[in-house]
Amino acid sequence: MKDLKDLELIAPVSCINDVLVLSDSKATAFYAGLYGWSRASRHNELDGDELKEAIEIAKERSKRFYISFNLIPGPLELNQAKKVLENMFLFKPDAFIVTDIGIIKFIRENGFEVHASLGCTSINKEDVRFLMEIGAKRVVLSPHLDMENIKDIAKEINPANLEVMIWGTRCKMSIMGICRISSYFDLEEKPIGTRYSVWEGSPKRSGICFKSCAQFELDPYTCSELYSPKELFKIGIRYFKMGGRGMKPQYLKNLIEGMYEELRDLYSCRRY
Amino acid sequence: MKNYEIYTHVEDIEKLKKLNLESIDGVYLGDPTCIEYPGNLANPKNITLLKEAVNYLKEKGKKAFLVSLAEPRNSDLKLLFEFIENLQGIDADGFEAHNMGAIRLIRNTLNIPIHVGFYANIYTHETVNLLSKYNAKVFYLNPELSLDEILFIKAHTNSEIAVFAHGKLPLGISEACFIKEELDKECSKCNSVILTAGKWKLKNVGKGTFSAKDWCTIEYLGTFLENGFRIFYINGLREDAIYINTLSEIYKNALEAINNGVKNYIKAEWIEKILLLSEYGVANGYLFKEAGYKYVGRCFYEEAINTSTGRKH
Repeated sequence: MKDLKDLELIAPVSCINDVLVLSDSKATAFYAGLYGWSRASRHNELDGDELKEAIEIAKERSKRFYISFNLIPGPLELNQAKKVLENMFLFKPDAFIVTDIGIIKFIRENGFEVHASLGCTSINKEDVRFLMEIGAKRVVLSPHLDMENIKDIAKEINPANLEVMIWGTRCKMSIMGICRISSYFDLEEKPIGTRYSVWEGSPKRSGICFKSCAQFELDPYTCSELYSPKELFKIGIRYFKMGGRGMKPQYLKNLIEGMYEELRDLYSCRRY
Repeated sequence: MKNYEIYTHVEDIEKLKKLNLESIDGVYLGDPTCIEYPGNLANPKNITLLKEAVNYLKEKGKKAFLVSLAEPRNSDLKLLFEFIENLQGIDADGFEAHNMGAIRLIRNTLNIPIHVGFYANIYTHETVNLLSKYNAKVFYLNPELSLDEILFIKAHTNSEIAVFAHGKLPLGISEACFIKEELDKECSKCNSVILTAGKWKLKNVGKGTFSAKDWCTIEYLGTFLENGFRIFYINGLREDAIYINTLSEIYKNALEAINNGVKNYIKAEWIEKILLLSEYGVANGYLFKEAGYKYVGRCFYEEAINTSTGRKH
């Protein structure tokens, strides 16, 4: 991708096959959730052995690989979370995607790159500065920002520290990261994998939202292109995340190729 | 010396002046969910009213806390910065913030204790300890936490952990105002609306979604007091003064009774009053690792809990 060398198109992977299929795409990085510890559904996560293999494949194909560890551990499981992370450090991923600020600090102190997740609800420039102060190298901005807000942030924060999800889900009922409607109606504590407790119903603690708000006919979700990659590119954003975990990799590949072509036309004609 | 304090929220000065402050020790001045709420003391345009409100509380020997918007964009931060610059002469005791960026801004521009609110998503003692370095002194933990998790956090930090004692649970904040957009109402007519889906209810206050049921910890105050919790919060947002006055008196009397060693401290008349005020029932499920709407306890009969899954004793 020598003509768009700073661009990073980050694709989700839910199994080894996804990594293999998407390795031939224009995606330059992958992210995957560690089983029991990410905001993905459990069947879209990878266990430790799978992550190790996925990272090795990615490195062979010169792709970056990020491990999502972006659920919030409970206070009683922080030590366990750190032990699990120490095992992940051995796989040498390029970065971790994290929500909990104590975990951000812990990973950074161990010398690894941290990206502050969507779950951090970064909606202003001071949020970004705060997260960078505690150790995040990159901050994924909230999908609830409009383009004007993003432009505003990109004026004062180096865009090299910003990442935007360009395709995924935006919830209408509540700003992502602070909603408790699902757990208010339905909450179940379960042990999962290496995790002491996963609280199904709490998106922050399990990744699982039961969409209880939909019963109020409030049309809570949109899932589509959230932002124009071209408009983001013009203001200096270079890190673009794709949602769509669990989507067949071929569809994801088509989406990525389409976005890349859009950006290549823009870049090569210097229309910005 | 008293070992507890009761705090509450009011949106505007009219409501503040209707409060019976005998049972209240501190008041958060403003609505963090929507800056446009009429007369909102958190709105920089109402700074004159805010000064009056703070002076009113201080003259009565009560604490006054400033409030910032829960989910501020850059433009809101700019207003917050200007707001802070105009705070000379206001002798507030703390500043409530729900957003990390707002916490950082307040820490960098003002020497005032920060109270970290419910929307900040505080789940662990490590987060509490990290934010204490940003001058955060009081923490409202995420209501999803269970009782044993709350006690664990308290035991592993030197910061003040507030107890959400009573009131509607704050469940989320939206970008758009439901009342303006779905109900086509103007800001001046801002009120709350109960959303219903079968037996399920939510209370929408425009940009904020609350539970319809009242979170209620009256039966568990002893546990909190004996573990060193000092601040007990009653959510007064979008409730009338009668609600706040009645509940603060009940909780004050309950805490006093516990301090005086009364074993069965809960009076039947308090339960009756709570049920009159809590139109859709009571809840405390999260404390016991249950869904939030459920109630676990002895004092409220199943029909009063208003769900078929409430426990009966």
